Amino acid sequence: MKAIHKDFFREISKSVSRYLSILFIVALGVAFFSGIRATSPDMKMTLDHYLDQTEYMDIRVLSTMGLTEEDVRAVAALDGVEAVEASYTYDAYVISGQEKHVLHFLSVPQMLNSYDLVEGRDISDAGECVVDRYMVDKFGFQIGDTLTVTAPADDDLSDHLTRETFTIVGIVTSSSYFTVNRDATDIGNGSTDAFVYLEREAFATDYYSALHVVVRGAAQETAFSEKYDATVKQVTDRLEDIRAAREEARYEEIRGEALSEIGKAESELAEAEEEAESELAEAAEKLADGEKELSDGREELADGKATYSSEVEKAEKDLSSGEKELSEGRKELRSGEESLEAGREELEKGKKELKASEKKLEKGRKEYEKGLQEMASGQAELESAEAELAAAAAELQKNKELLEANRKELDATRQELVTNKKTIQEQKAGAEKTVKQLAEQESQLQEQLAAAKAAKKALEEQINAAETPESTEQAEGGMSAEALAVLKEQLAQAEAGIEALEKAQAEVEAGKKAAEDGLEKLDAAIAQIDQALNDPNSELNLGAAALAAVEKELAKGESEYESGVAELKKNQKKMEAAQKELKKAAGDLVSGQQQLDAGWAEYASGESLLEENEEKLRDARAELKSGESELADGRKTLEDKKAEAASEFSKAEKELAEGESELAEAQSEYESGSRKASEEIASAEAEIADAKEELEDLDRPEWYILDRGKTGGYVEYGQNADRIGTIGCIFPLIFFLVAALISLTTMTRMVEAERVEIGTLKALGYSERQIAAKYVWYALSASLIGSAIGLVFGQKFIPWLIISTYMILYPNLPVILTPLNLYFSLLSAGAAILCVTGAAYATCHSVLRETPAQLMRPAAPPAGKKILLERIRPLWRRLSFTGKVTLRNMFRYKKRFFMTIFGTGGCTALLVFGFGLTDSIGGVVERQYDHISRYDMTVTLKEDTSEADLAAVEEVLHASEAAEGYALLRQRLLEIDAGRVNYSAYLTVPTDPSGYDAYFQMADRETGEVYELGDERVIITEKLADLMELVPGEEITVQDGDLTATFTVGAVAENYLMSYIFMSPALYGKGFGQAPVINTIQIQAPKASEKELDELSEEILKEDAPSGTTTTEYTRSQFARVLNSLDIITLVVVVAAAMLAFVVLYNLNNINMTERRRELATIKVLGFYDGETAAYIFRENILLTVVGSALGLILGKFLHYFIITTVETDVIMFIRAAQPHSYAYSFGLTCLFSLLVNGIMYFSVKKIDMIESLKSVE
Amino acid sequence: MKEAAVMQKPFVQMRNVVKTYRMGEVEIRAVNGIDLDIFQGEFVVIVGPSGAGKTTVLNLLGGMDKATSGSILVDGQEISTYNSRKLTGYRRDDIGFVFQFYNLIQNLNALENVEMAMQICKSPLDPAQMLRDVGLGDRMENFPSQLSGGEQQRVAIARALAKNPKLLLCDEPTGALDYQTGKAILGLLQDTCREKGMTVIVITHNQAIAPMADRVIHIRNGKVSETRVNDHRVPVEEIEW
Repeated sequence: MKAIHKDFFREISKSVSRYLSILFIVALGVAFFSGIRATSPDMKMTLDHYLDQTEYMDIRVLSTMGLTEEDVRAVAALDGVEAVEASYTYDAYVISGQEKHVLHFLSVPQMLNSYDLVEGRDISDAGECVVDRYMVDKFGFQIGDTLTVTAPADDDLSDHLTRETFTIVGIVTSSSYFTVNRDATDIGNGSTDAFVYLEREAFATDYYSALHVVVRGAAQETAFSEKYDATVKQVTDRLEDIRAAREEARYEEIRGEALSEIGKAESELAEAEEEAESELAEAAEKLADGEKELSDGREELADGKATYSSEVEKAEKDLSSGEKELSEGRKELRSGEESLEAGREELEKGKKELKASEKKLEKGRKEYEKGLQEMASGQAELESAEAELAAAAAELQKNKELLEANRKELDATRQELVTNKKTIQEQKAGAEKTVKQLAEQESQLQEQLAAAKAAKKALEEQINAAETPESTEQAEGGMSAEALAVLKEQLAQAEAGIEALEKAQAEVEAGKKAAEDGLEKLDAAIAQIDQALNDPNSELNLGAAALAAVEKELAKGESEYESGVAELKKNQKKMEAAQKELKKAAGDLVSGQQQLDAGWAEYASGESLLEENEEKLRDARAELKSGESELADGRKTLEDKKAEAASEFSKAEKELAEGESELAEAQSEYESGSRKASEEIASAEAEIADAKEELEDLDRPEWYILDRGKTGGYVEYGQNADRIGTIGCIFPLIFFLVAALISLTTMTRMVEAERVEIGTLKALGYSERQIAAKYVWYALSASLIGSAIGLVFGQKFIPWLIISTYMILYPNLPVILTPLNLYFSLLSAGAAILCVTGAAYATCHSVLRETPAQLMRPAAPPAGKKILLERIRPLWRRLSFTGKVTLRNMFRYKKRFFMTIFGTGGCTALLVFGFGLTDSIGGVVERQYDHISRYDMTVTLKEDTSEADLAAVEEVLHASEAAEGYALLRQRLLEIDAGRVNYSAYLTVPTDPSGYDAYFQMADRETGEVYELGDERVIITEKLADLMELVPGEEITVQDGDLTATFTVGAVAENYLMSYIFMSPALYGKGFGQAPVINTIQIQAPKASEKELDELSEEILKEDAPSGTTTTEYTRSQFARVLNSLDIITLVVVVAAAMLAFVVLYNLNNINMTERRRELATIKVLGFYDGETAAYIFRENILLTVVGSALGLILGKFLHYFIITTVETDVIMFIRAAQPHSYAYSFGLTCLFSLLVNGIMYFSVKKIDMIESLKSVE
Repeated sequence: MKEAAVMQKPFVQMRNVVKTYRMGEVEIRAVNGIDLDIFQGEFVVIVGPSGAGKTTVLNLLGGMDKATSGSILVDGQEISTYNSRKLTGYRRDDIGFVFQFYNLIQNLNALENVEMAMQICKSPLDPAQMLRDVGLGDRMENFPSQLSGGEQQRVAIARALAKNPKLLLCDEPTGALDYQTGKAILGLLQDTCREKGMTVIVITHNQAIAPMADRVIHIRNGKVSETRVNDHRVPVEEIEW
């Protein structure tokens, strides 16, 4: 390898970051440019591919009265028609739970518009169906469920379908329904909820609903392309040519059918009339017979009733006379009984009296007998008492005698005792004297004894003293043994004396004792005698006491005896009085008995009389009873007879009544029969008349030839793609330009930095080309690789991302095609490579023009010089030193200055555009539907709706709680001829222009001034004014149907979606020469829920006048969905802007740092801290960012305005200005990016080596 | 004055200073045990051939680099232990630097270049006066590109002195200048030293300058090979090379 090649690779590895940054910038620029540009064709291609794959039709033919086999053949025969397929459709309800779904039933396609089975299996018989994915996703149906179809009101299901129920066997998607929208319908709320495919056999209609046509050669052309449109147009033109003939044929066919039917009905009617008449006559005859029979029966009954009443009268008379007699007898009997009762009572009273007398008498007798008895006992008692008294007197005498004897004996005993006592007392006194003597003897003896003892003791002491040696000395005079012996002898004598004394003493004592014993015995004897004398218990005393008691008793007995005698005498007197009384009582008793006997006899006679009378009465009663029973019998017979007669009568009457009601029934039957017959006949006649009339006004069938361009979803898709395309025109271009500029700067810088090396090489003799090759290759390789990466990434990923977002709207698109687009690839890659490489070569070339000597000398550093600001002295002086330095540095590096401003400005502008896109597009829906269009529902009426039908709808609205108000208007979508092109706009003529403000606010967008709809000029909306370049005062030509008129524009009103021309009814009348026909109702129901609106819509659609309803909410959501999907573009833009900011700022900073490395090192050596050093350089960056960003805001405003107005279609105006906060965000974000880059750069500042400052200038 | 200096403690003292750089696998000892003493107010010339380690000594003394080992004392401060922030403070307050290539900010005029340096230090001197002192009183408004090399170097010296540093370090101050201008610059430095009592250290490979110094320090292979106190100073005018 040559050294110069080595140098090339080493250059890359030495400056990897620069190489990569060029590569990356190029990749980014190319990716955004080609990616966003390719999105629009990719979108179209994706749809085209899908439609071709499913054999989607190019043209659809519909007819107001159906299409026939003839029509199919006629269309198929046309030149350029490749295939025709007819299909059946029917819109009906399926109710599941609470929900009522409006479904579009259509026949299974044979070839065209085929569907893809997503789940389950395909249909195999007429009882099965495959359904829209929505049926499962939104409404919860499952494979295997059965759908039961309900026909809309005034429609017979059997006219349209052969069966009512269908089983779901599969779920499908169809290219006919690749958007989220489903078919419109004239039932329910105006749109169907989902589609259902049925076998062709399931349809009962004998005509087709639609024809689908595929144009030869159209599939080869891409959808939306001009070639495609041209190819299809040839066939639509041919279809237009045959349409009139086909319409006429269909008209005749229908008319012929109807006529034959009417004829048939008329003949049937005549037959029926005849039959009815004969039947009626027969019935009338029968009725007359019945009536006669009934009147005979009635007569008979009256006769019977008369006989019966006379007989009953007589019987009743007899009965009443018998009754009278009987009651008289009864009265007599009652009086007899009464007198008898009185007699019996008297008798009874007498008997009672007698009984009482008898009792009294008996009592008297008993008393008398008792008195006699008492008398006798009293006599006996008296006698016994006399005897007792005598006996007592005798005993008393005897006892007195005995008592005297006893007393004598007792006194003798007492005398004896006293004597004995005296003797003893004397004996005792002698004994006591003896004792006294003895006691004296004793005391003498004792004294002697004591003296003897004392003598003895003295002797002993003497002896002892003698015998003891010690004492010997002391002993006076010394005692000799002889003295001692003497002493001892004396002692023995003394002892004998004592002994004798003691003996005497004992003898005295014994004597004393004997004396004392005797004394004691004497005392005892005395005690004994005392006791006998004094003790009451002693025999003596006892005897005395007894004697006294006896004496007392004796006295008592004597007094008793005396009282007994007195009593006896008293009793004898009483006895005599009683005897007298008794005698008198006996006499009374006898007379009483006599009286009683007489009374009893009287009583007996009275009783017998009473019995006689009773007998008589009993007889009379028996008689009465028999009379009564006779009478009762008579009455009963009468009643029985009566009942019998009554039942007979009622039976007869009932029979009569039955006969009558039967007759009446027959009559009414007859009447209703005849009425019905006549009614039926009348209605049949009317029907026939109606049919005839209808046939008279039979509408001519009308064909609709619809190409894809008249299919909502297809057109909308195309518009979305075009919108992306428009955005792709401008925004990536800016990006691309910035990227190119950056890489260009980088390359230039690189070449200039190596001028010494270039000079050396040149000096060494390398050719210019060889030297330049290095730099060109460097640039070329970086931009080539970068472009390749960018192309692949950009064209694969970006369209995929954007189309994926649109999949929300087009869920059925099976694959997204993102082929590499050759045109955009070449364009973007070519431009990028050319820019970068060209820059490298150009710089190189200019450098190489210098001589080697010049090159090898260090390039003079750019000279410092005064900047413009310095010339303004007062201002310059006021600046701080750092301010001056910053400003001068800023303006010194001009390239960097402009690049930074351009980069940050571009970033800010992109951000403004990105955020503004959301403001403009997202805000449209809100602005349009919250501030401008204020109605909630639109009802479209059939053309030539009668006033009565309109009134019926109004009535529904008045009755509805949901609807708060409504406006009647004429509204038609018109084509406004503007020379080469046509613009569509709604002609809107409110019947009440003054109150219409509440439904649609016409106001100036900028000033907010509300415009009045006057009678002189029309008001048009802004988009239309822009398109036609109209200003107030200019004229506009409007065509309503066949009428054309020109009006003056009075004002331009704010509006975003669709275009409108408003005029008052008066102005309409003036212009078109006739009053506006009302065909639209706008309803305000701000508080109604979605469900309530649906219900209201259903109510309205039941009426004749409406042809459909649309809720504003529905339209709103349609738009909102489309517009919100653009959010992803905003995100892409914001991310792109951020990348741009980073790339630009990082690169420029990097260059700046490299260029000023030596300066920074010097500053560091001078003692600047890292922070100060960074601030020294970043201050410039920040200032540049702020300036660039501020300029970017202005640039962004224009960019945003430009893109927004470009993106607008003919029917949409976006909000042209971004919100203030979007500007704030953009500015803030740019500054944030700048700060981030500076933050990263701070570390590079830190790494700068101070040694650099010592090096020489290169 | 000179006697007094001898009596003093050294103003700058380097003891056994070693500095090694790693270049990939290779370890280079730029300075290998330097010992030197410099006294206050001296005009010192450090001489030695290229690669001897003069610049490393200058970097170490100027606080632009840190020694691998050994101690460096400046005015009693052990700067060898300073961290990078303290070193920055040391550079901004205590050191004046004169570069071989002047290193003026191209975008600032003479006066502004001086102002920039004094702006960050604690006790700056009047920048205009400094410029007048170096003889550029009438060129203050000129940008570096409008000045000759010598004039630029004067601005650089004014910038260094405006900070009122303790030590003036000059890296080959005459290296980029012609003979006459070089001599003038040296004269300016010497006058500064004499008149302001500033300690000035001039690093050069030019042996001829040595005779005008108070003290000459020879460096060879990363070591001090000789230190000589010059008793017979030759006036600048007599020096030739």
